[in-house]
Amino acid sequence: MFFLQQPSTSSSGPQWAMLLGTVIVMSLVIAIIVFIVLYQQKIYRFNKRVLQLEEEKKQILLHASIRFQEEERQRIAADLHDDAGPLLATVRLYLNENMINQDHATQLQSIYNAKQIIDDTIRLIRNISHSLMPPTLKNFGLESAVNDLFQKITGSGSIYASARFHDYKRRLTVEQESLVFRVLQELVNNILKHSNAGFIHLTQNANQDFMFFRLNHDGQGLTQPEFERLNHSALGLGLKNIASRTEILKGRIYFELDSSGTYYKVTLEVPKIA
Amino acid sequence: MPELSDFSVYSALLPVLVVFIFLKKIKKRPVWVICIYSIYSFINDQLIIYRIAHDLPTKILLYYFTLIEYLLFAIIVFQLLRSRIAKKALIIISVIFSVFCAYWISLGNFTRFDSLQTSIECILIMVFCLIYLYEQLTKPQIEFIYNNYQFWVIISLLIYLAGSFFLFAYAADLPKAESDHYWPILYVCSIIKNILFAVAIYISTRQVDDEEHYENQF
Repeated sequence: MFFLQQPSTSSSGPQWAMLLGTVIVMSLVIAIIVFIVLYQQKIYRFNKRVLQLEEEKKQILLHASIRFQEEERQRIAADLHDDAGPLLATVRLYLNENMINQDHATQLQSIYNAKQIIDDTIRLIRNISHSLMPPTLKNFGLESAVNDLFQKITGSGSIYASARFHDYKRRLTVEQESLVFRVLQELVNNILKHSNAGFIHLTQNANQDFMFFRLNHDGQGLTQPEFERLNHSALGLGLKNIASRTEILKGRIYFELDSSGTYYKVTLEVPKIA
Repeated sequence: MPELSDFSVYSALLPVLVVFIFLKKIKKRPVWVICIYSIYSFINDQLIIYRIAHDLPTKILLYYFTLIEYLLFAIIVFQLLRSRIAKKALIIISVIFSVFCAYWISLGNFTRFDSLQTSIECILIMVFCLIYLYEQLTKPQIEFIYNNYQFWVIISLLIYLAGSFFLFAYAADLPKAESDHYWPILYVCSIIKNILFAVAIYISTRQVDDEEHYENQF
């Protein structure tokens, strides 16, 4: 070891070793410091970029959510203005002030017609209300609401839809059920609109910590990379809603093509709240 | 005309001066240890100068200085490290090294320079400084490393110890007349160390500012 060396009679050996050693160690230390600073800068910039991308994604989802809300409001406004408005205006016409001057039979006919139109209006408003919040979901929970939705789809005759809940004794919270229903509804809407599928099947299962919902269909579907791409683009408002609702649920969603290549699967994973 | 050695001795007052300027903002414990070290280093140098001028022995001061300097550096590094294993290792190694130094002093067999002790001190502190830098590379980064006062403390220790390591190792072997030619290396390293300590202390006061700023927002 250098520090156990005996004092040399000739000083040139230690002198050179000392100077060379000092230069080498100093160079090494400076190189390490420079490397660490540069490497840390690189990592820091990378992390900052990742955070920025996440923030941009959140902004896209937020905008999509706001746009969706606006579209919903416009749809409700249009339904009320275009359907309920004219119906009520017609009722008003039937029940105008001149009615008292008319004969009894015409009066009865006018009242009957007005009653018919009011019934139609009630039905219309109920439909609007149900489209906003299905009463089955509110009163009987997710399982009943999904079964109800699927029965209506099957009843239309164009596609066969079925659902099977394997382990739903311990239900999700009301908020979670509402969000899951909206996600499933959006997925089913997409399948009906774009997939040209012959059947839709929903399976539910659960473990200790998570609830799983899997939709299978035999039409044209999406895989996870396609979902991610559409989710980050300006297109696919419905998909962005699915993503933002899944994020609120603190869950995960996964789109895939079955290994046999015959049908597509979408799996929604939702954490149970203790 | 002041010499380089004078600059080196008085540069120890630079960190102390920065501490006094920002006295109210000094909240970090390692900064106080740096301040204590700088004051001790300055007093020790003055004592050595005085004793040389009066033909009194100075070797014992060098031996004590090595032990105390090591302990103060170890305390600083200990406070900056995050890994529990590294901290435990530092404690164990410090105890062993302190016992070794104390035993050597108790023997009273003083050579012209305590090369063995100073060399071991340099190696140990440099190893733990490198462990600290490795920790910084592996932890999640929320800001640039040079915005942390800890980074400046560590690089000042590394530069000082790396620059003086071989000088310390060979100091006892070289004839006195020749070794005097190389002490300027130590003076330069010491000046750099003190400047970097001052920078670290100044940055530590700015870090406090940021924390207070956020506190005031809520």
